[in-house]
Amino acid sequence: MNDELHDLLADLADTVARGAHGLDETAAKRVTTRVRRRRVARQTGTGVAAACAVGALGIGAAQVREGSPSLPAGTPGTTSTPPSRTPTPAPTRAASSDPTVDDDLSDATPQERAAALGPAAGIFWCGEEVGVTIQTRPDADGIVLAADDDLSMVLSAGSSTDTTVEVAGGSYALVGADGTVVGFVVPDDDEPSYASFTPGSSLGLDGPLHLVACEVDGPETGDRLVAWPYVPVVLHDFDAGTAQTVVAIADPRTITVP
Amino acid sequence: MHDWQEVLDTLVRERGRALVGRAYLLTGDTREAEDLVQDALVKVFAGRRAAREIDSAEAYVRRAMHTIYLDGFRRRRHWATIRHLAAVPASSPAHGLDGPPDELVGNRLVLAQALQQLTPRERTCVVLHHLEDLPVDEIADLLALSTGTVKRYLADGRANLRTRLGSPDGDAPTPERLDLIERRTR
Repeated sequence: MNDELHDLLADLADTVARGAHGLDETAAKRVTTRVRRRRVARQTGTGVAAACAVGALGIGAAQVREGSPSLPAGTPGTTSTPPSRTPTPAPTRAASSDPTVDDDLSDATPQERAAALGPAAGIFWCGEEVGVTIQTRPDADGIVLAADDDLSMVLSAGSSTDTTVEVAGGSYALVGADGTVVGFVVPDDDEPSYASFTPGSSLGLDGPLHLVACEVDGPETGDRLVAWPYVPVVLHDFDAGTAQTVVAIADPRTITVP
Repeated sequence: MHDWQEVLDTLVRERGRALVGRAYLLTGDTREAEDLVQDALVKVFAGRRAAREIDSAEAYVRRAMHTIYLDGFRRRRHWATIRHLAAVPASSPAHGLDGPPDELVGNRLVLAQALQQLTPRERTCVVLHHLEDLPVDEIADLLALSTGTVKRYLADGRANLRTRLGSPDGDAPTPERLDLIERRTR
């Protein structure tokens, strides 16, 4: 092409490309995850609305209620809360099995399903206030979540639980002083694993590793934040051929960004 | 594996570095260029009509990079600030975040620095027109600008480049003089 500027620009781009690492495996995987999450979010929009409508008629009030004042959200700036090994039962109904599941949803991980369904369900979402009431619902099979100081979590079965769960690592939603979600601490790998849950059994979850801020100028080192432990769980009933996604939430605690 | 995922994997594997090179012309920083490429890939492949051929997918991604760049992708990224909680912050490279890659010397370095002196819109219009070969009216459509505005950005961008490439700052390596030929805008 007879355009010197074209040649100069192309030469510069090629030179940078030769010296660049490109997108490594981690970055490529992150892109794939983001794409899948967005596709799931886009394609579940209709399904979530339909599920909520059915739930309101047949099941009653949702387990997580927006704006409920019954649980303090914690106070940033206070000392850290002691380890909370006594779990607060908090299975939270995010959505029932989606009748509109398509090929993209069929292989979505619980994290992706919950990420897609969370905003619609009024659960942790960047820039929005957190107002949840922790209750136990029978249709969540008594699943309870406990989190420790090292950020690890334990998912426990209730006394009448007998199901197969599909679960990935646990996450934390981080709430700033203004009461809005400012970020998340998420596991390094959100590949789900299956476990058979019988009464009294429990499952240790890998502690989350990565701080993901909602904004580029998000939490800084030394910031004190209220952290809500949570983990999306898929309850499988293979006999009936159904799966139900719930989000288990434990008591919040105050943490300091390292 | 879905069709889109195979195309995405192939595109990243075979054209990822080239895309980063193109993105660098906009960002002037390789790490930001990688972020921009990732954002563009997500935008294209999360869309309702994700490309199913490598060539067309690459073309979509290259165009998406420009619109995302101008939309202020850095401000809107929600998943951008990721760091390992247990990791010691990586030491900054000697040249800082905005520094050029080591491979850039001589005229290439001067051009990279000159590009960064343009406004984002000037830079985008110059790259789209002179590198991607897009005519003015297509650039106007892509960036939601009038054709007159695009022509003005192109003229200003070329003039600024000509000035900077012709008279570099004192400390910069002395380049050969680059005579830019104005290209007729379509």
